[in-house]
Amino acid sequence: MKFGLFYELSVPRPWTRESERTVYNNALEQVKLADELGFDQVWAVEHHFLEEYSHCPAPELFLTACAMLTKDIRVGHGIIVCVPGFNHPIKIAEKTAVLDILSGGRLEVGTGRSATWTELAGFNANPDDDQEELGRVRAMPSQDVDVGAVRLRGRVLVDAVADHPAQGVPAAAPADVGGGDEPGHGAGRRGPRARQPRPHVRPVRRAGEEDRRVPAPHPALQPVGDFVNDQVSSVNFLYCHEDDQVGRERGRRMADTFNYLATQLTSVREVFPGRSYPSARPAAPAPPRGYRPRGERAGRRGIVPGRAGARHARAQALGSVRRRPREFSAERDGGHPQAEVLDSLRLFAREVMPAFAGSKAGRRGRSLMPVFGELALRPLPPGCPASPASMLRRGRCRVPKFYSSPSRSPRARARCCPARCIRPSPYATWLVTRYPESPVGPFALAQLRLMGRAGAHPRGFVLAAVASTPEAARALAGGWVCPWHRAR
Amino acid sequence: MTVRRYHDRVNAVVTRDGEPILDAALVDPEPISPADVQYIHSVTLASVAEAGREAPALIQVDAHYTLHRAERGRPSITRFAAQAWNAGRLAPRHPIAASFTTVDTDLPQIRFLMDPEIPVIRGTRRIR
Repeated sequence: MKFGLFYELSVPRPWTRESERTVYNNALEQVKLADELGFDQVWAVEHHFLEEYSHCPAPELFLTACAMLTKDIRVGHGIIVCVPGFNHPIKIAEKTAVLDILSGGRLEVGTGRSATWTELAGFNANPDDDQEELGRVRAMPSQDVDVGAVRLRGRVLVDAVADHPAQGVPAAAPADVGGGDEPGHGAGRRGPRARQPRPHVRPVRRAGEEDRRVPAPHPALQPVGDFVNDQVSSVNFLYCHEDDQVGRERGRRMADTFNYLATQLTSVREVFPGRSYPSARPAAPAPPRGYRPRGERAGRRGIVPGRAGARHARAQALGSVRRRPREFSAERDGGHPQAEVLDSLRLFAREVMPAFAGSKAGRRGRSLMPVFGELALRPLPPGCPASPASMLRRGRCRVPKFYSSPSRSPRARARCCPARCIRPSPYATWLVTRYPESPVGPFALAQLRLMGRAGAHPRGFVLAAVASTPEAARALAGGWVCPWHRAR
Repeated sequence: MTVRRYHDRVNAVVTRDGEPILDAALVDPEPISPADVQYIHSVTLASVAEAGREAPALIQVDAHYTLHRAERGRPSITRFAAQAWNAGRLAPRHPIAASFTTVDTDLPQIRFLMDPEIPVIRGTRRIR
């Protein structure tokens, strides 16, 4: 088990020129202290066009500054947005390779795509395509990068690069899992001809859900590079204080602030139906029996503030270490005074981290750490009993769900390509529903809703509603309190 | 209120007192998986009487949808009378997407109340 910091670099209002600078300077000071205290890694997000939630549009610059101020702590992209409109894949390879060299092989690279309409639309990216493009970027290290010709066949990248000299196209930096144990195994130390592993580090938001969200590498998985980096990084809130009550109160305020800022995001699947961002479910399921809103619970699951947070964090972290080495990152945002944040880091390093230094989980993690180049997975032969086809036949694997695909022709894409819109939120929706059967007979209902959030959940505030029959209007006025009805 | 399907679009028109207050269409529909469509729950403000006193509350209407068929396309709004929708300052500028679905749905009872005066994460109550 290792611990790290995860930065969104939130800048709550009111904004001043000084407030931006203060947030960045405070973060750098925290990272410098974290390095001295023995934290293992620092992560930075990439977000664009957001309001208060995150002001981190150039994480490579922030991480470079972190690397220059520190000695041992690893610096990580969590994640680089691999949508060509945001970052050209070759620039990703170049920038990460340079940062890996500058940091002395301390770079971690996480790859992903944006999930917000706010950002994708701002870069005029088509949500229908970015899953495909992400796959191409992730596979890029397996191309002939080391011989200087990037032969990508993507729609965007065809003939993008040809005849580059070997030194001109450095290999993509790895999600190097050597950590502090193997500081010499970074791409920078190995030179541009090294075959690189597939970046597989992926922060997840809820501790305890890693096994479900990030399945173990399939035995037949073909790594892009020389091994599969099977580490998982969990992200959580954390605030420690000598006084338990103070710690809980401030940790809770930090979580509330984060949730408030998160309401400024607009997810893609919320506004743009498509196969690239499938909905988790058509509608939220009913809460479990005995559900109580979070504010009424004695403590929140997954949130670890306060003095007791140290115990909670330890139990939670131990509980999650079952199959693979884990990293545990604490999110460090929330507008608290800098001195208190630094004290919280010191307290955590003094009271929690030593418990893991010699723990079974820690030893196991180190023993299973796949050293660069050591673990070479290859596809199983087709006739092997454990091959994917055999497992599917025997019902041991879940059969992937295939979605009906809209037309992939350029013309169809152009038809559905969303309009450019940098600041789409708040947005409005019109919902017209025909109810052929109901207790008040058949009717139709039209609603105009202003979309927003209730906590973390998207909700539509009904500005007005029109029902087609007087009976329906009366029933809905009594049952749902629609703000305005007019029978027609 | 009419919802009509044409060869190249699905059109919805809402009229009040003989005047159209909304004329919107889904243009060039193409089929997508029903699982790709997400309909967001609604909330409305109401005065709720409880324990002898009335207080404003946000009411959540969480209809359940079982989607059978879905199409997506380009939205087109040719008529929108903002005043008639209690939305005088709302001016549609960038239509994003339109969907047309066939669903099983219900008229659900209210289950959650939210206090509009405090953060929703603390002020949500289950009443059923």
